[in-house]
Amino acid sequence: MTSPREITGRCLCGAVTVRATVTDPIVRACHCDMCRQHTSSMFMSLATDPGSERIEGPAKSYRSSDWAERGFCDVCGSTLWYGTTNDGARHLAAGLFEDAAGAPLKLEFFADLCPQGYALAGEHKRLSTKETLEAFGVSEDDDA
Amino acid sequence: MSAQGHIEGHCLCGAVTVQVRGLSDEISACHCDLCTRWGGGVQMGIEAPVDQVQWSGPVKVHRSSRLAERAWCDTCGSSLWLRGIEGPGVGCLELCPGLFENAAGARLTRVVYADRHPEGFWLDGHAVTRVPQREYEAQFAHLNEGANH
Repeated sequence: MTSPREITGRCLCGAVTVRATVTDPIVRACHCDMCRQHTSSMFMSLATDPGSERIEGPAKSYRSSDWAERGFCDVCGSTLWYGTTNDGARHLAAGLFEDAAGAPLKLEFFADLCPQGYALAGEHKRLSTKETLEAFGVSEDDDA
Repeated sequence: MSAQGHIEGHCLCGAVTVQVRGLSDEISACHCDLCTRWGGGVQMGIEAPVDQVQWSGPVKVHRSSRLAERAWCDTCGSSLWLRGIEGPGVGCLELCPGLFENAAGARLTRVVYADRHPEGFWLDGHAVTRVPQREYEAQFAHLNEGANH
């Protein structure tokens, strides 16, 4: 384990700046219906140190379910974050950072919901819907 | 490439709906800097002739370069499409696969700026044509004037 380092990212137009610290960061991809519909294909987030995230600029948030909200730039529409409302956590989009902060993809959520037409390459963990829900301790009746 | 018949799609919140004829059955992905920052990591699109697409709802657009503008839902922020304004993409929309159930059954066949993907992840597919930045920009002279798409 290395010590935390500060990283800075920005959206396409540069109006929104994001900062965080990372410690051995990884990238995670989510293929749930809501992430798929919100992005072009999948939501890819960078695992930053919890609570270290800072967002400046014209970010707008949409409450997508009882427990989640999604951030985007009000000027250029860049996807910014997936947030959980109970703890205020914000999972920043990996693409906001140069070379995704050098982080490797380690995990796919709802891998069985990925459309048949594309796939992420490489050896990493692919959790099914059931495994994803178990990992987050929620039942199949809840929505993401 | 073959075109699909009439198909409907919508954003996450449902405020924006699209009705499309002539949607391609091929997906292209792009790893240029603009697409990576806009799409959160990877950006994909399915082509359709712009005059074959009807939409309704709170669509907002941003001219991201001389060549194209990008559209999203002003309510939920869902990425919607890229529209070519100058250059090779004029007359086309690159619609986000996420608008359609199972990405409208389309398949990834092409990745551009393929050598610019973040080191930590890349797209699978043996039958995928991968076009590196230099080759892509050589095809389109206007891209060498500092504009990405």
